Amino acid sequence: MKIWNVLLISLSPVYLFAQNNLGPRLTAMGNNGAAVTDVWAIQSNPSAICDFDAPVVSISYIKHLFSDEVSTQALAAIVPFKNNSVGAGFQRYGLPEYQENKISFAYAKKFGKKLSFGLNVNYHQLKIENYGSSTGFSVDVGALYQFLNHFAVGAFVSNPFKQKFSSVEVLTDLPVSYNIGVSFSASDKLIIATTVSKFINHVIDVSLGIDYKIIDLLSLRGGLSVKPFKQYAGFGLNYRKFLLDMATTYDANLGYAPQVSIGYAF
Amino acid sequence: MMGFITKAQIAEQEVNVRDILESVAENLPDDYDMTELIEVLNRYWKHPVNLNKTTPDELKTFIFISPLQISNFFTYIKENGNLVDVLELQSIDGFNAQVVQSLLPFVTLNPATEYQKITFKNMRIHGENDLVMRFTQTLQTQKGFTDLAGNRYLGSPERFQLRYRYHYGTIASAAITLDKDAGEKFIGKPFDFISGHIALSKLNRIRKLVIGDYSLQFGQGLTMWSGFSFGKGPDVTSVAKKDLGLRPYSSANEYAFLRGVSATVNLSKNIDITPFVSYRNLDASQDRGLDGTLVQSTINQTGYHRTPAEIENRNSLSQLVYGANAQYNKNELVIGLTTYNTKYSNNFVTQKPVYDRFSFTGRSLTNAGVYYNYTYKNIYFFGEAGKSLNAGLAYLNGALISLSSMVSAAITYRSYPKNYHNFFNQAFVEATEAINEKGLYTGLNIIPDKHWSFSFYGDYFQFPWLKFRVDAPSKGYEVLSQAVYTPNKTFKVLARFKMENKQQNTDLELPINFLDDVKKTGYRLEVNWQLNKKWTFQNRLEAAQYQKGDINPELGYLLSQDVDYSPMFSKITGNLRLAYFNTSGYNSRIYAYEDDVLYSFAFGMYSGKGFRTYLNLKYNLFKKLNIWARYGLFIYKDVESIGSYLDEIQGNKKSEIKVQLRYQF
Repeated sequence: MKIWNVLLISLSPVYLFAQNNLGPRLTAMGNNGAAVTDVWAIQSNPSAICDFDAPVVSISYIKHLFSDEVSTQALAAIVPFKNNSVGAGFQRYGLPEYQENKISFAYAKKFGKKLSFGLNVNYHQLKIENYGSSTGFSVDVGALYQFLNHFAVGAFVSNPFKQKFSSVEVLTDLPVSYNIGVSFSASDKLIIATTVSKFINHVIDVSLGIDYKIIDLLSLRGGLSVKPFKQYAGFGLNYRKFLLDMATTYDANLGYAPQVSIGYAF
Repeated sequence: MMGFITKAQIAEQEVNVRDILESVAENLPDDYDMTELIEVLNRYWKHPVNLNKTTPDELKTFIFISPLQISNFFTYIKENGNLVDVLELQSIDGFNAQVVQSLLPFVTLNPATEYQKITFKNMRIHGENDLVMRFTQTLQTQKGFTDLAGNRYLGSPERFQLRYRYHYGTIASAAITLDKDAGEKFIGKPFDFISGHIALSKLNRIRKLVIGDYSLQFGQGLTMWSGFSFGKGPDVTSVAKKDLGLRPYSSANEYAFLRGVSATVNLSKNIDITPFVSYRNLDASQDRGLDGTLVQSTINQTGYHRTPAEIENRNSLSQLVYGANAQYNKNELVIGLTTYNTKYSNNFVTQKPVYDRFSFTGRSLTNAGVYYNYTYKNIYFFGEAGKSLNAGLAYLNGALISLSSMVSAAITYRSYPKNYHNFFNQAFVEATEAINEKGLYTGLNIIPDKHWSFSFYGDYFQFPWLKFRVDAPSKGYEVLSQAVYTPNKTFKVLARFKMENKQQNTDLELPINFLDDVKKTGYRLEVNWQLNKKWTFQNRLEAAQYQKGDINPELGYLLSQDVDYSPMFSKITGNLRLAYFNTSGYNSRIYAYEDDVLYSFAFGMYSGKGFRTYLNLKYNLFKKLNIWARYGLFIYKDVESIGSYLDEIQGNKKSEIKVQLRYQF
């Protein structure tokens, strides 16, 4: 059974894309990471980690689709100072026999009131039992521009230099993607966001999501992505400074992937 | 002076009504008769609805208002008292500038002059009569009209319709409709289809009473909804149906109504009951069953009686429907219960293919259902559950949420089992019938200001059992996104993208059958611009792509130019379309809304390669008499015949003329 899981993960490149964990809030909004400010944006658009007044830390857990054993554990933290933000993230996907680990360091700077740029450096490690491990580096760059009070447009490129794992025996690539998105704050309770993403060797995907703060304590989120067609839903609780978020993805062929995160905003 | 104003008003009224119709026409099924809707809007133009004295049922007849808006309207009046100015509508939650603009011509705050006394003299003098006669014919000879040995059309090629309507204020109405389809004979009585009704309303406790032909629409359409309803469209709030209850029927569709007596009676302050009984003779193709009696598996809904076989099937099956609906309305809550029994003169049997295994058999079917809707702050909850006795239970639940002044969202989940039996089922569905389907639909409408409007929806559905040409349980999804930009009153741009993915038996010859993915994508770009007070233009480019499995995709496109001439005080108005279409096959065909004479609308089907043109003219003979004429022509390239079976025409041209006369007195 474990071999089966390992083979399934390592031989299906599509799962490599799904492994990038954007946290339950951005996932519930349809995996929308280009133009929404969130602590987990460190895994998507690094410039979207600005606009925090105080440090935020969050840990998350995803149970994956086809097995009880495959999961993702992740951690993200942001520390802002003056006009800059520094972030760190850690993500582990897989099972004990097969692991993809990623450690990230991000730096983002705000220019004026509207524009911010971000850079993220990732250290990847692929570890397979009895086969050894291999490492790789990649870089993400992104920009975010806010205009007309309500709108923000963000763009980011993940692994623009098409870095790979250092060992030639590893055939799976580190994903390369080009993304652009827009978010619209329709009111102080509602955010609508959309992202267009192009992963290399994959068709263009469009996603749309909303985050609706129904009361101060509770937010409801939902989203859609088109290629492949998936529906997303989730909610978040905001009590004092604790943040509890839950989300799930629904894929026609793969079923549900529930995830939860707990965070604290200092 | 009055004459000038009336003419100006008539022209403006028609433009308003037509704009609204065009925006909803695409969500309607093919044989939907728009007469009802056009009737309603034209009457409100003449007798505007008094917003301070209206009821939810009356507002529901405005097709472009959502249930959440209606609910918010009454909450606003309850909290703030009567409206002081019609424009006060804009301050009601959910009423954006576009809806208010569309509503303005049809509403007022002046109390209407209520006709209190019904005497014969009053009814003759103050009643309004409307007589419409319409003649349609395809100019070329279709195969069915030639001398054939076997199956052929026994009648003449004209289609003729006559409709007479009478209204006395909002209290009484009557109508009679006569229809003869092309190919039908004048057998016995000169018209193949006759329909009529007498209706009274607001008689103390009797809210409505109809003797004759009527339609019933309750809840979300899962238990009892006679007629048709809107499908999925860019207006995401249309997923919550607006049920109108008992209504008199005056359309020409020969299947979708009930015939008998029904009334809506107000039992107590919050409770209305609507008992109904109907007896009809329907068309069905029947065979001898195992025990020697006649049996059938489907009811023929087209209403055609042209060929010997169709004439033999005419009125071969009788249907008796009786039951009642009770509805409780209080403030923001509505709960209803409907139950009825349908009895046929002959048994239903299933057809041979496996996909039909769970359909209804027998002669008698009892249905019951419960529906509700409830408004809580900015959320409108709705739902219905229906059960067919000794068979399946179907349900549907959803919510319309007004997330902010610019954004509304809709979400609905439906589950219809494969053995849900119901002959009056028009619930929200992807397939053609609301059985054997489960799905989750989410939609979003964003209207940031009066210039822009965006719509999106995504629907994911599954079919738990087999279907025609689908030999296994299957699933699919549909996505739509649309943006409309209206910088000023004279210019509008629309862009739409729609994608649908379903499954179907593969066409490949293989030892083991499997399901292929069938992907249909559609793109539309449309520009409307008004040159001056007389001339309006519309350009449209539409493309469709069809791909099944790994076979090469089929591509089709349509390019059309519409010109409209409607000067204010002119006796003559008209419009013209010139279009070129090129589709590589029937699968990539394109449907487009076409203008037609009043009370009629067409959905052109553009398949193959060629040109399409049509011309509509309206001439206002004198104040009460109008005449319309329409000529439409298809010219196909590289074909020797058009159509198939009895509709086949030799040559590559198909043209049709239509003439209509309307006399109001």
